[in-house]
Amino acid sequence: MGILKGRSGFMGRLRTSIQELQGIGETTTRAGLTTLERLTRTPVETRASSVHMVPSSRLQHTLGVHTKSEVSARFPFTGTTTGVAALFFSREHAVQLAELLLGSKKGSISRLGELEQSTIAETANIALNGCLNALSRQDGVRFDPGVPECVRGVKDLDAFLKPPGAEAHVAVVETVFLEPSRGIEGTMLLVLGVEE
Amino acid sequence: MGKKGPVNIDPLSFPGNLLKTPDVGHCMARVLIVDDAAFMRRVLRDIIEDAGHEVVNEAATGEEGLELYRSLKPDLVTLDLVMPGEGGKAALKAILDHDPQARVIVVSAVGQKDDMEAALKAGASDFLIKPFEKEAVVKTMQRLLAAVDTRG
Repeated sequence: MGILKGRSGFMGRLRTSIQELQGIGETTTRAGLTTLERLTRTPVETRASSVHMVPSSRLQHTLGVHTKSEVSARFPFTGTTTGVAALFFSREHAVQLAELLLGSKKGSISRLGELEQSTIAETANIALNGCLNALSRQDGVRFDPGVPECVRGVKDLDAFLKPPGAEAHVAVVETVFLEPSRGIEGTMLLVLGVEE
Repeated sequence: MGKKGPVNIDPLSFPGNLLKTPDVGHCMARVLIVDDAAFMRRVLRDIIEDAGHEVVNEAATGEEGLELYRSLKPDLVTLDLVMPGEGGKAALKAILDHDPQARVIVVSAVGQKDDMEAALKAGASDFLIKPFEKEAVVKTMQRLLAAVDTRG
């Protein structure tokens, strides 16, 4: 399937059908959590999941809760549509995730140093590319992801999550997950620009 | 399996620099890791060293990876695709332009069909999608080293 055909079909689905938009949400959520499970080698549960479409200017309002997240990791992507993929954690849970992935005992890491931040950023890279890979397989669309970065605190969520394009509307897939063995909770977010 | 101590190797004697390790029963390879994530470099180093191979160095960018490839002449390279700067696709091309015999395993979270086909068409020896199983890395390395052994 050519890019243009894929773009037209995919963007049409994003625009026109809430049910199919939910399908995109389910595909990406399932793929993201499965990838996270393979990475952490522990079960990961979904606590809450939602898909909505909002004006990009209202992202801050819609997702304002994440401004309280102390640690996040994100990368932009271009391709069939532009967008941003991100993970959000409290500082405590980011530290616990780093401990889990680095094979450290619980409570052994006290600060988010370079290695720990790299671990969080790479978790976002792997889990969220798992979402995009699944969407690519399902719809024959393509994404070119950017370099992931770990950020401490997110004051300006609009700027943090604004897709690298000028789309007026965005589709937002939001999943709160829990890794029960250590009680690590985080939020996975996919923001997809929607063509007018 | 214990980790190996330092071994004196002539870096210019490829492929004769593949040393037989009697207790492991396969060739010990000199491996260069190219990935911008310190976490992933550590994971790969642990896997590679546990399998009895030597990590000759690590690079965080494609440009640095090319420099190190030129100076160290490793037997194998693990190469991430999405990195700051020119990135892994350009590094793959540059390494293969410099040494058409280079063995490069692309290790990336980007597992879209187009990217995998493009990397293999460009000359990558294999493509592993993150997250990977330790066994997949080891088996892929062994297969490529066996091919080098046969050729050498």
